[in-house]
Amino acid sequence: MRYFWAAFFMFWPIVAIVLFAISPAMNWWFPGAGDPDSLTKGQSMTPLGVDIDNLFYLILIITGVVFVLTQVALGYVLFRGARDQGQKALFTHGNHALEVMWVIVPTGILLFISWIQLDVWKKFRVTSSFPQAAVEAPVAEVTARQFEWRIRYPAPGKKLQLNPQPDDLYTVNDLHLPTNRPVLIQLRSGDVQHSFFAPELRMKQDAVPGQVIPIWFEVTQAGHYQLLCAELCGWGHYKMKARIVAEPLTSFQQYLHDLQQEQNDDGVPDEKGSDAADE
Amino acid sequence: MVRILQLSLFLLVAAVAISGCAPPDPSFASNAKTDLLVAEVREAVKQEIDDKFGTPSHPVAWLRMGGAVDYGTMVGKVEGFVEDGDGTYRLEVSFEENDGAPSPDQVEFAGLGLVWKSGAYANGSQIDGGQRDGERLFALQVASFDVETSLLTLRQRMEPPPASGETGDTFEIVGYKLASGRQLYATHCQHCHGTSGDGNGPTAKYLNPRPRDYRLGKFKFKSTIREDRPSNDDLERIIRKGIPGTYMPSFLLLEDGELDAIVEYVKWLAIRGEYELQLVNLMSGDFAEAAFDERVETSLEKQLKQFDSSSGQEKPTRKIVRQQFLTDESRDFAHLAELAIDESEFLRDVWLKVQAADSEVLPPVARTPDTHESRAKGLKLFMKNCAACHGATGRGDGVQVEDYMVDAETREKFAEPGLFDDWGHLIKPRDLTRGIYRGGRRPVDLYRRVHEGINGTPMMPFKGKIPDAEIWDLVNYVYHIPFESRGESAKTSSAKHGHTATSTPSN
Repeated sequence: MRYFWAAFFMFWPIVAIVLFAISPAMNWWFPGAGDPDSLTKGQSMTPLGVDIDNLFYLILIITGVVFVLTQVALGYVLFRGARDQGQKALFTHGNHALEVMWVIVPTGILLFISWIQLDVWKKFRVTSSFPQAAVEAPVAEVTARQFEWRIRYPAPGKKLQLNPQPDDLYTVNDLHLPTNRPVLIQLRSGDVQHSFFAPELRMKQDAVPGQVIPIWFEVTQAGHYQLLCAELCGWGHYKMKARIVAEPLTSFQQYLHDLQQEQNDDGVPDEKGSDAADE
Repeated sequence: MVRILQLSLFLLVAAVAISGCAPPDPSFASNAKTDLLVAEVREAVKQEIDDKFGTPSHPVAWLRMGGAVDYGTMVGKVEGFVEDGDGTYRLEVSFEENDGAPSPDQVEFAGLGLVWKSGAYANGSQIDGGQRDGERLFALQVASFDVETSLLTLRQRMEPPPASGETGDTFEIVGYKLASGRQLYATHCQHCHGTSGDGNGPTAKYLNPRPRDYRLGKFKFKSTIREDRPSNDDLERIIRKGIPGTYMPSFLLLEDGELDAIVEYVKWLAIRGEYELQLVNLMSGDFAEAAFDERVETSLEKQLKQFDSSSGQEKPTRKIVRQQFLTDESRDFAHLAELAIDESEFLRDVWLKVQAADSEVLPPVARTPDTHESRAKGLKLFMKNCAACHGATGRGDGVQVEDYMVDAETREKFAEPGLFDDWGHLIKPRDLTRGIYRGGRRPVDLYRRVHEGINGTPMMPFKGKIPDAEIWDLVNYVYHIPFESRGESAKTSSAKHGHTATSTPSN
């Protein structure tokens, strides 16, 4: 039992290193990592998401290295103490230089982290720095409600207005977006607080009752992505699963066109003889 | 002493840990009206329902409803037999591949029914463990199926033992949709709509409006005529798109097969509820507790008047008369299945009918262009036909809301003012200024709401009352109501509300 505490504190850095090593293969990493069939393979599908991932890795490396080193140091001290029994402990009443160091070095690291992320934060959250093209033509309004996502698009060729318009197009749990261009979404809540969470796109933003919150991102890869609620919003929180369909601009426009046809369906076959009522 | 206490505590915790975690076996609740019957009749009704529908864990596919409900059928052929030595046989089978049939490795076979379609067994051979009477299907049950070896094991023994001549016999495995529908219903729907589809699941009490109780066979938002059941497409549409303005969420991400199975299970639950209600209606005239007591009382009085104490006969008591009634009239409730043949066939027919393509209500004329004139006509129609409930401004605050409505069943006025639906819930006429359309926002949806009304609610059908072309005027006006309160026409509102939705967030 002499070396118990030394072994105990040496155990955790080993656990940490093992976890770092096996996480991607166990699919404990970003969604899709470790799954060769996945579309994302753990990569972010938005450029901004790649920046966020890089920040995440940076912080993970800093904290991971510091954690392992301090644990190893602690383990070593405990090991020495256990081994060299009978040796008299050294008494010190403080070391000014050392204290200054352990204040300045962590402060420097924290300041570095807060400085390095400013740019990403600005792109992500500061409205005035949003891509102009996206701001001018928001793609859709997404209203979270218990327990689904209701989506409102402006009619093709029109701009999204704050208030519903007669020719707006509506869907539910099915958000279509054009790829390879910044898209802006107006996020609302119909009842309580929800959170718009698209893990593969690294997008997470609370929807707050009474507020219209713009969010933007640019999807680089066409495909189906998850949209989840990341704020416990009630007993049916788990039901708030929806999909984001990212597709090239032409198919997105075709989708809106079809949606408009369907929404204007009066049940009477038009001249072409199609009857969209039986979709 | 402490040892014993420790040990017993340990055993107690272990016992709770083992037994406490087993979920209780789910059961179907009976209709409140069933409980108003005399005990003997009540039991007969419950027995009949159990016979035909089983329990949630072991649902029964009632053959008579075949077609009305698609239980999920896979056609198979016997390729050979394997004898296990103790007189039991396993069947080596192959399944027919067709469009609708699932791949066998995706089907949970245990508990599904097997019906012989050709060969000696199909011609009425005795089968140990249950006889097939053309009604109950699950007489023969599959115990397991091994996809690798294609060997099918039955829960019952095959009597007589199969001969080599039986190779090539065909059979149907029935019920895979019902079984998977049951699982999916339990996962996604049951907590609101209840195990029996009575709209009374554990989360139902938090909801307004209440979840639909399927047992009346009435569904509100559908494409069929008012009194008809909903079509498969209608149910599918509601599950996919949800009902805006209510707690029915969208289940868009379910796969097609899953959705299909849920639809069939919901229909099956509705039929179960309707059949129970029909049995109760058949019985309640004579055997509702109150009616039965009255008959017993009348008869008792009559017998007491005629009673001659000198005759040496036993003096009639209520208990004796009651028993006598139950014995004499037992034929009136003992064979419910035969008594209710018309009822069950009616149910099958109404649910079968809506699967035909022509069951859909389609407007004969195209929508009138949404012009100022059309809306003006619509406004006049609205004031004449709709304002009494929906209010002059469409806010759902018409005068009817203040009035006391008569309960169609008891013919008495409700205790509180307002409009009630057939489930006995107080409901409000839709506030049309909000632009939320529960049954869908397509013109054809609004047309159907006006043309057929909404089943189970005071929203009445206007077919025949308003000509089709004028219904379109009304629809055009109703679309316009949410934009009217802003004091400008819908045509110009999009231009005038020029400020885009990109206001700066305040957080």
